[in-house]
Amino acid sequence: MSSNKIVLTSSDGESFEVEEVVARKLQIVGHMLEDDCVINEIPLQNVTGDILSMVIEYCKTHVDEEESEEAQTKLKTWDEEFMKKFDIKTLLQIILAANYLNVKGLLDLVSQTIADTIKDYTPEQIREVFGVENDYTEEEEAEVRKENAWAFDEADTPKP
Amino acid sequence: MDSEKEKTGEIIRGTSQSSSLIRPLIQWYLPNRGIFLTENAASVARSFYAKHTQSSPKQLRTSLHDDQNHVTERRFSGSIPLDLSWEILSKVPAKSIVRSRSVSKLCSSVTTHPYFINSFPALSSKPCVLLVFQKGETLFVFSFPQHQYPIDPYSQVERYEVINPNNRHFACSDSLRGLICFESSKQLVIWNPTMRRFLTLPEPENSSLRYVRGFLGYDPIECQHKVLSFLANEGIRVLTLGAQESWRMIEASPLHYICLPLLKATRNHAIMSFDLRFETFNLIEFPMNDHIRGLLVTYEGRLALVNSMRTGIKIWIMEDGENQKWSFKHVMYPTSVKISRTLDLKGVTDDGELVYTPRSLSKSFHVVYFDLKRKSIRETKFKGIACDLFRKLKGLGYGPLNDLDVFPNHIESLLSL
Repeated sequence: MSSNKIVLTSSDGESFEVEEVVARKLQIVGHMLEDDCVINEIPLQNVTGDILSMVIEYCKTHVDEEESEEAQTKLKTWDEEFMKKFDIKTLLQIILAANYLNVKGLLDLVSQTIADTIKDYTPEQIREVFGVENDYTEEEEAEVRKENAWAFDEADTPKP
Repeated sequence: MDSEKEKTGEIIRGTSQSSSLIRPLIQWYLPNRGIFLTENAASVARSFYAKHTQSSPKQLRTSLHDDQNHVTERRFSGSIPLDLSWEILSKVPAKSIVRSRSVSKLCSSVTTHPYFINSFPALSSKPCVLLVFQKGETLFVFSFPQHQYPIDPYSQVERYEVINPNNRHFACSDSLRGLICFESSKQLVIWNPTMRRFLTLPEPENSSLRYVRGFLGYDPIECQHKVLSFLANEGIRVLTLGAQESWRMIEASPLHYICLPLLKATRNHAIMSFDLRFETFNLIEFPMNDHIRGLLVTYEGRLALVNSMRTGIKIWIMEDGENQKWSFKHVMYPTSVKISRTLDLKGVTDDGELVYTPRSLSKSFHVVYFDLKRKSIRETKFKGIACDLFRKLKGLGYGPLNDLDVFPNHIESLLSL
């Protein structure tokens, strides 16, 4: 494949020149290219430059997905290290970007990372991080907590 | 008919999603009972095809949105749309899901929606080996990770106790899509270990007979569990869980009369299948004439009978259900390993590993896996999980704990029963 370059522009006007194979990892771009193959500059309205750069970094690393077990393990390790860089707020921005740009692998990776991060959160923490409004009355909330009291117990994980 | 068959074959080969959903079909076996419950795979595949080619999970999610018009205009949270929240929620453990129900009404309605509940275990749950024993009214529950090479196996061991008001009872099913069926002399009880709930099934009306024999099955097309109960001379009854129904008599097929007395009179083994969808019975011929103690299992999606010996195993695999053709293999354990007499075969993992566990629980517990294809053995040890301090606190004494029920391939279920 020729190393045709595509310029991706973020909502805040930052431009990234990437190879077409990398840009095609963003399915939204892939579809645009199929519709009209002469495009070489693509504005992406719903994603800021700092987030787009992370998505591009992911796509560059995943551009040649080899089947070999060794390559897969290496990618997995890279994915883990990559995700460690971000706090929960950034992860939420990345998941929105991955959804909008339609990058399946990244969507799975980020949603799993968010799930692992929030699994021990209290309801209060979840509300805070996700900006959820608590629409229970005090009595209703107490009732729901009582019903599910076991889920609030500390996990008993016996050690040797 | 041929074109139907072709279509079925295509589905099974065609998409990995369908085959992973079809696999559990064949999991309604009833170890040590000579009865196997299975679903007619072809009819299942056809219905699956009809249902799932027309509505993708995304569409089903849309239908959830439609169900909840009053909330869909809003986002689940300040920043994350509902389908992304769904994506995330379906990857957290059941305990976190249940806790999140206190976050908001929307969060609760998403995670209690039947579609979410039905799709949940397939998405998130990693199978574990569940170990259960009862002392007095307390049921002690341990779960051990089953997947290969857990990084820190102990971090995934969980232990809890729950009061089980029912009398001493016996497990009469495997863990089927997260539920387990127990029987006592009078009652059938369904247990969801994840949600720590028990459901005592209604006793059949007009029944003066005490003994109930129960079987649990799961129909992945209708996404429902069904329970069969056998009462001598009183026929067979079926009940759909969650359908708010009472026991229904099953029209007695001649087969049932042929088969059951046979079991009773001669103690010969017979395998009877029950199509959960159409509620019909079928007889499966035994692969051999000799009397062999074996365990009925699902091996690579097929019915198999395994006879475990000290040096190896004999396995009969149903290769062709329609013509009832079995294949036979005699596989030896690696020469360096002997499966000790204190280990019992408990089932087979989805990866085709035979699972062995000890008959009693000392301070430690271990699970041995035998991979038939690679002829290799791996062992996961959990040292000190029932240590002296724990035993003292719980009044368990210091000797080996017996009467264990072990359920491999257990996954979490959010069904509230």
